Amino acid sequence: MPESRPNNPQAQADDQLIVRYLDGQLDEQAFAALNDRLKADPALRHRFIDLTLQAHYLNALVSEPDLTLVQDELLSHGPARTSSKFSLPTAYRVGLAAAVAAALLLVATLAIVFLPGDDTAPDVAEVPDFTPTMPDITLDTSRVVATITDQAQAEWVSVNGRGALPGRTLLGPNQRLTLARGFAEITTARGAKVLVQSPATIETTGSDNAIRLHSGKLVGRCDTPGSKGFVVHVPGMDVVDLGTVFGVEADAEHGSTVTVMEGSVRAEPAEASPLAFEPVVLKEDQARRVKPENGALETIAMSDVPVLYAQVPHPYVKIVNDAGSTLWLRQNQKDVGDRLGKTAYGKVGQGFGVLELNGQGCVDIGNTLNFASDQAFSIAVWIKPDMRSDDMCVLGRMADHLERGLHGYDLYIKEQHLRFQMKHAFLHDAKKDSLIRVESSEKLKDQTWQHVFITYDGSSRAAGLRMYLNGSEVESNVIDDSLSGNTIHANTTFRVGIRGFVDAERFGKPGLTNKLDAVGGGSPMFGGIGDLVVFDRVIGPEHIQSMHRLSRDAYFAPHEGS
Amino acid sequence: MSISHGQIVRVLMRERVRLLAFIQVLVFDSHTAEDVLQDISALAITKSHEINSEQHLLLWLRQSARYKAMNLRSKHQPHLFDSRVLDLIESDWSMHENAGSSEIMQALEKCLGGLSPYARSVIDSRYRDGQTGENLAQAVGRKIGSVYVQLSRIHRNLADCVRTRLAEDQADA
Repeated sequence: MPESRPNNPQAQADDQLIVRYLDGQLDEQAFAALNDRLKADPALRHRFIDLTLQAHYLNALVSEPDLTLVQDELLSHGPARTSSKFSLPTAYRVGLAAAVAAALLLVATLAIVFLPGDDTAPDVAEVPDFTPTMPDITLDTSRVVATITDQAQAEWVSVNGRGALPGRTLLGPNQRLTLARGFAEITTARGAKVLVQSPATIETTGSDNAIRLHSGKLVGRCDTPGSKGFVVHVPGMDVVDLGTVFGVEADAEHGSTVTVMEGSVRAEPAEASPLAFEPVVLKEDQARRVKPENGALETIAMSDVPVLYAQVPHPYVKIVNDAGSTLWLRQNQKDVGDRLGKTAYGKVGQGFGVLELNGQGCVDIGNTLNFASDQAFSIAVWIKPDMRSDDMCVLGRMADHLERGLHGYDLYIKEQHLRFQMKHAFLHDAKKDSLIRVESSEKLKDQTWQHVFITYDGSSRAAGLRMYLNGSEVESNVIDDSLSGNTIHANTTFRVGIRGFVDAERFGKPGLTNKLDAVGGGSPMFGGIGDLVVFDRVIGPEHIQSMHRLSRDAYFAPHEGS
Repeated sequence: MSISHGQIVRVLMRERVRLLAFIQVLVFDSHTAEDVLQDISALAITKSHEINSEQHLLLWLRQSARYKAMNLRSKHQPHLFDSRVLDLIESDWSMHENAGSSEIMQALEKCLGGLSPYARSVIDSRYRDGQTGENLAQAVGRKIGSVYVQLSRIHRNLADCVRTRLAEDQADA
């Protein structure tokens, strides 16, 4: 903490100026004055830092994001909480719609992975006290044509050996590398960037604006003038960038595929088979595949495109929204403990950023993710159940319309088995109940982090529901399969850690405490919940494995004992 | 020796408030600040093998935030200090990291408990409810200038109180 401030008129005026700044209430002239004074007056700078920090500490201590306000905000985009001004109590991001499409996911992925590249973050080597990691693979870099510019849990294999490479590794011509694990960003000497997903084998060429993909997947992005014309060589095809974002897969069995997410590319036959097909320009949302049997180019639907999924691991709960960005539940324990009282919510953010629930609370994400029974969706979540209860709701969106019955969906643990249900139940006539209920054959492990993935194809049939545990599909038993045309839409909120058995209309908007009291618990969750992601589509097994592997290795494995 | 993922996460959680405060000075907008923090947090994890201490990590995070903020500044024009001011603030910032965040939070919490009901309601309106000074002035029927005077006095009293408590705690230890 800095020295105590003098309490003279100038100091008081300075404090008021800073408080106004923090409030976003300085006009241009006053702000310019503050800027100049901060430049000239070290004492004022310390006052400024002190007050800025205090404002943030106060926000962390006293902010009590009213869930009803969050809901209102989601629905009406109310001005108070969505202001772009300083407005410290920014409890949650807004704009949830849970509608992330495949292309958006890819673009979001690119944004996540590419943004922190050379232009936006310093090389760690620029920071003092840096001890460089020695390369495990020696590479010829007499003429640099590309650079490995970023890596996530990457393990490489070359003719010289296997191991890690430094964060930045220069690549000369004709260097072949296999990415055995993780992700890597490679930037050509002319600025084109590719994100390579393991397992993949790449090779630099004699060109400073090309790369060869022997097998595996990559996403290319060319948004610098020098990178235009960047070429990815895959078996049977050359993909020439025309200013774009595109995905490429080289698969010996199924052929090479190109998919355009933004802009356009030109697909040309490879040098070895120049007459295999006519060059074609592809635009956004178009995809082509080279048939392995004859080298011809065929059109494929976007839904058949193998999607590259790269998830940057993180310690937060998140919801992917329709803009491809994420909602991050705030991890500060105070945010939850303070605002909701001692009985309403469990702890959040202890350990390593996951929710830790003790059967006395939950987190309410607001009126969102209101899927209908004919809509596809997928839900991924890490859980570490504490099996002290036979019936624990992990998450869901289930409303009790008092006179009408239960509507919604939820994921829960029943006698250690994982269950997912979608239901439109009738209070006074159970025969009319319309529901799907599926249960995993195998039991979940007690006190162990496990990655649960549910996919639903919108078919209104139990067969359209799939359960995955730790990246692999598990056998499931169908308990009910009678979902009819009745909607599972519900006037409620998406909650983590408890079943939403309460009609919001009945209890008005008093906050969750009353609701919890009223329902006597609602199958509360005991244990940990983390890394929640919801998609508005079916995620395929390959991507589920990829997501599982990455989040496990990078995040949950180190905390298995946590 | 490089820092582990666990250490990085612990530092990010422990220093979240201070990091967010620093980033908000760079970009002003709170949502943008959250985005920058998320981005550099994720990047830090991928760079863990190149970072060798917590101090190194904090330094790197602030530098990364500066780089990232530079790219965002054109989109968020109002209330952005010039680079010279930011250089100076960045260099002064570490002097405000001597006390631990949790100790400061605990002291501040106790100091909040000592506020008058009126002062507490002003703080709650501002920080819990997100009211601007202008809204507060309308709510209590006072001039906006008077509200800022009150707010700055409360901040000053809280800062003095926190300082005293931290000093007492240090003496007790």
